[in-house]
Amino acid sequence: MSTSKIIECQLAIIGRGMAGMASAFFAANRGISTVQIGITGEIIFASGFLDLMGVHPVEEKKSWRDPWAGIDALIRDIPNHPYARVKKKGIRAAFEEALSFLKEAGLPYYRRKERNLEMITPLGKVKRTYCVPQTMLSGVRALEEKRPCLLVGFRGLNDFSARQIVATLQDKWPDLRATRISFPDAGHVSELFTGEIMAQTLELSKNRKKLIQAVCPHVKNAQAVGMPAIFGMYRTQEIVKELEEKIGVPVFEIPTMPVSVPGLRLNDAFARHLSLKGVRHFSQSRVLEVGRGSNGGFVLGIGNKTTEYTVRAKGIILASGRFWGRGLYADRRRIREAIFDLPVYQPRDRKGWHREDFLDSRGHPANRAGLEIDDSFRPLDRSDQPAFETLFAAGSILAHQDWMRMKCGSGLAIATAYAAVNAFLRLNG
Amino acid sequence: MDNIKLEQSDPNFRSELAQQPGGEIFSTCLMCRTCTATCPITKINDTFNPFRIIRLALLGLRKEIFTSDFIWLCSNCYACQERCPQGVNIPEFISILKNLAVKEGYAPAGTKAQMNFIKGEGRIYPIDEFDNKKRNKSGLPSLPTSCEVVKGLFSGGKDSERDP
Repeated sequence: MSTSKIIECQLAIIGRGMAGMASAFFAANRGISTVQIGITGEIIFASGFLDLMGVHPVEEKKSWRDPWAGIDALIRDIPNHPYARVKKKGIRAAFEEALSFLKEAGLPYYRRKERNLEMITPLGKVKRTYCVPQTMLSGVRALEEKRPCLLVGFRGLNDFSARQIVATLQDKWPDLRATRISFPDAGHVSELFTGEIMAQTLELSKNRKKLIQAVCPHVKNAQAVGMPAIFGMYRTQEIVKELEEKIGVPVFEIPTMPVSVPGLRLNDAFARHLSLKGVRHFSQSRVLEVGRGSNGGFVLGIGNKTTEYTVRAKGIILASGRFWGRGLYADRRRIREAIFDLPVYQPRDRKGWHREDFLDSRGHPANRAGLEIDDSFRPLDRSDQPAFETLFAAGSILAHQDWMRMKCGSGLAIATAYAAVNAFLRLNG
Repeated sequence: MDNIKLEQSDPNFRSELAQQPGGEIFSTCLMCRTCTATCPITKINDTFNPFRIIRLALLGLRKEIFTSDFIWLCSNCYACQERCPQGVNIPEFISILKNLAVKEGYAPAGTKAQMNFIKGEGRIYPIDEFDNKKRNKSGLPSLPTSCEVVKGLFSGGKDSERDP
């Protein structure tokens, strides 16, 4: 560690997923000098929807139209759920700040404050969520009113089928039609992949012109047109506006299977705007060593394979995610926390990790394993005291939640990041 | 779409690659295709497809990788590496494949010619008096017409001039 460059900061955030990004902007908005460490997070696989609270109890698959009522019921039944510690007031404030950050970063979102929206998925299912990118709003409205609508797919884009969506939804939405056209500037390749290269193709006006020419003859009686989410990486609002003017009806994006452009846009909007706000990030970096500083803070050795920098920080927010993000890992016996070896709440032994049925509607106990925390979002040690004065945790690494089944992933990340940053400020103000 | 020719698979290829410095992490690839969706070369020529190349390597299809020229299309722009959610350094991995290909005599003619130029002249583009005349005309200083230091590197350092 001694030969690497030293960086001083107040707060080091470990993680580049939604919770890490949210922690970074809450910290930046509060004037805290911040360093963010981590490899590319799962955000690039995100649909772009921001869930707040969808399903509870999971075994009944009870879906909530009013997410706030859902949170009330959740906190009543699972008093250890991280939402119980942020409280509704905190969750609301966190979302306000998150959405205004994203708007500032050029990625406006749409929500109805008191109820969940419904939008179609790339498989033609209808999903309830709290916020959708502005570019999907016309899709929410078209679905609500079951307006005559055209879905457009592209030849060579094998993981998006407009026909499949129509086939799945035809009973509920008889006026939905599908067509398949050639994607501009792609005649020479046999397969297309949703991602930034495809999105960038539509940043060129000559390609948009070709797209509009190809779509127009199919519109007929349609009052809205939906396409896979590939309307540019950076000038998306402008592109949608132009398509709507030329095609003559509202145009909307439908999320795609990963890799998803709305996910890449989220990732890039965060990265760009956080760097403008002074958050330092070292690309594809990991925490390789960790120690205590002389002033009660932490010393982290970070780099990709070998330690390149030493970060001295007063506090840390651990937003390193679960198994995919490598925040948690499972050995032959136990589920462990990867950096500090903090105690992990989990079933007594490996036999209890999973239920007999893979698709058991209750989910699996391993999915609710994670870090237990105090009211200041500090992970607890074996004696139920904060493990360190200034170590905080946020996001999916926390115990007593099953964000995938409860459909509360983004909300959990944003709300707990907000609480963790505020707790850091309160304890180190 | 072609069939995967598993009868041509070399089961040792994977571990051979993993033993190269930087080669150990490629087996963590989970085929999400983020690299391919980010690759500016795939847009132009889809025979170059990073996730397909990793898949071929994992399946041990050594000959298919070395006898086609797609690995040589990588421009080392690092866009894929920046995006990879598993932290796989794909350009470095492609370089490992290129090095092995050269070792086994599969380098394309152009690359071999470049290599010989560097060996003989110390540069990819040998500079002569004609070039220097043109440089001088545009107000640029002359460059040395030989590059003994680099030449020396290839002859085991015997002929190299050492800095004082």
